[in-house]
Amino acid sequence: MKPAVTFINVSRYFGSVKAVNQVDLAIEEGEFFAMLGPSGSGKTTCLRLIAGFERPTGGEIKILDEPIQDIPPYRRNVNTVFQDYALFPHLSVAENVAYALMIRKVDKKQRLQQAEEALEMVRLGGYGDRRPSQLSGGQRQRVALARALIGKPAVLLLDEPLGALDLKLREEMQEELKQLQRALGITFVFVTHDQSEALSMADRIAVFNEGEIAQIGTPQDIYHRPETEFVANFVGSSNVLPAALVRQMSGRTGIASLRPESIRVVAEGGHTAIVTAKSFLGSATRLSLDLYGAGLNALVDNSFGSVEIGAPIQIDWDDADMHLIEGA
Amino acid sequence: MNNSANDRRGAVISAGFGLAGQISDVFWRKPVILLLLMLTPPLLWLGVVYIGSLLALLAQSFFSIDEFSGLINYHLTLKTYGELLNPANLDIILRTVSMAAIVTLASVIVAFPVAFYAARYARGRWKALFYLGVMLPLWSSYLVKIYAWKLILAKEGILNWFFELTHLKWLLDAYLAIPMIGGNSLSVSYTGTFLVFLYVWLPFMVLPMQAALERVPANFLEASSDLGATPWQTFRNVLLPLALPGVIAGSIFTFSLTLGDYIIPQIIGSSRLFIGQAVYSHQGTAGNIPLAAAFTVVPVVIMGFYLWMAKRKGAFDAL
Repeated sequence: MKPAVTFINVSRYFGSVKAVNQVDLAIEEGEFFAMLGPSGSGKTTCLRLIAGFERPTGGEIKILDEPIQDIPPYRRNVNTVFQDYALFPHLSVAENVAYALMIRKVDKKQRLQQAEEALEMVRLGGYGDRRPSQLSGGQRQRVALARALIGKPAVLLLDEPLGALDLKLREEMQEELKQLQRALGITFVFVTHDQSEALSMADRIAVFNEGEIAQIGTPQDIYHRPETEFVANFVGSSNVLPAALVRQMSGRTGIASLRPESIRVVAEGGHTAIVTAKSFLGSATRLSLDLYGAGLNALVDNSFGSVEIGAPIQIDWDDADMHLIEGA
Repeated sequence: MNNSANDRRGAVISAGFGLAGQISDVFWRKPVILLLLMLTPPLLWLGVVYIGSLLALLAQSFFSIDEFSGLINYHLTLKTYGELLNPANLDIILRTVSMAAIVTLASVIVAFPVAFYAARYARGRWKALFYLGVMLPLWSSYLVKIYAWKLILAKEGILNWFFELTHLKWLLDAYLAIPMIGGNSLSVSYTGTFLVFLYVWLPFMVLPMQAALERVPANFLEASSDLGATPWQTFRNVLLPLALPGVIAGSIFTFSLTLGDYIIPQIIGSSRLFIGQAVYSHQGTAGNIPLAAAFTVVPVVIMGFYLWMAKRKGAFDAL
């Protein structure tokens, strides 16, 4: 299988700012691929490089093995769902969806019919005559999706597609996007700063930091086996344990990560830690602990009973959950 | 106890700001008073002085002039409007309207790239420079500018000299030999009138256009291009429709200003009359106020019709 999108040593500099710095990447065909990172990490620039809104300073970009860095956006068979949807306010919903067909001079009756089909696909059948301004945020999002998919792109790019929606709607759309992607078999590349979104939706994730890819892997890889301190911190806010603490905790050498939910409170026989803060989250309780003079976050279920701030408790973990990031 | 209650009160409500503070308080409680205070003077001005005089003008156009005595006959009649339709006057109207239309069209074409650049790319210092460049001509006297153009366009002028210098005089002569738009020299041709109109009114097209283009989000253009539209198709299908209110606003300026101007065609151009000049001579030397009024109504009617058409065509839908 040939990769849908390939980056070979791609860079994009804005003056002295290295927005994307020597990135290598291969996105498989039919994959749901997430680019995850904090703002300014280069993930959106990478998306814009694929769409053609930016041109690389160096390196080569291929879509289905075709070099495309010299091809303008309007000649690339790649479509984008924009963060704020970018629906044209002077056109009706149907005209928005049919825009790509209108540009290709598909005859009017046929393109409006196809637009209606695309709208039905995103469960907005019958909304074609409205104006984008008459729709809710979630509906606009679907229209943007239908508009981008009507031309049957080789790759669909989604720029923070769920960022503007409220939590409930977002969870609904996550499920819907996944189903749509499976049904259509089109490669989806989506950019997000929300790690839980990336973990729940993507087949694979590239974690971006300062213009470079810190790690590429499945959600399980990224979550359980972070390769760098940054990934451990950014994804699931893991505890990054300094070498001295690791030695005291397990006798091993090196820096390690330990997920907050891997720590449990035990009656006796564990390590003694001091509770420095606690917050009740409903299904669990988050504790800030002081262990051997270092800070540690723990996410524990509510069955441990009550603890007072400043009081010592006994904690334990499985050594297997402690993942060495770098050996010392 | 009492004391502490007073302290508490001071903590909740800050002390008055004197008379001005009390007036502000009244305005805050009754915003309508402030609104009336602010709107009454301009509304009086617009209503009485401006609309009133327009209505007086309209009334004048329904009077007629007694051809023997030269006195105004105050019986309502359409005779004066009938006079507008005689060949000489109709000629003036057609000439003026065509000139206004061509000047407007040319302003759109010339202003668009400038406005587009300013709205999309110019930042900080360059933007300031743009505003300065567009507005600077408005700071100097209108008459000075027109006479300057006369010197540029005249037979002994700079342009002629330049064409001679570059051995392209034959090109200019060939152009001037074209009937209608040509003439003895550029400064006595319609082309000259057109060029000066274009120059003088251009800022009135650039500024509203720039404001309209600035309001079109950049990602609309990206979205269009993403969906397969070439830059020209994006211009036709997204940029122009969304910028149209600005273009219409600008064209109202250039069109109506050209319709009403009487100085430029008098100084630069063939000696044939434009509406403004006709109004000027009828209300002055000829003393035919009714005909002057009727002439003045023409641009008003044309502009009204123009706006109605623009609205019907959906020019303001994107507002």
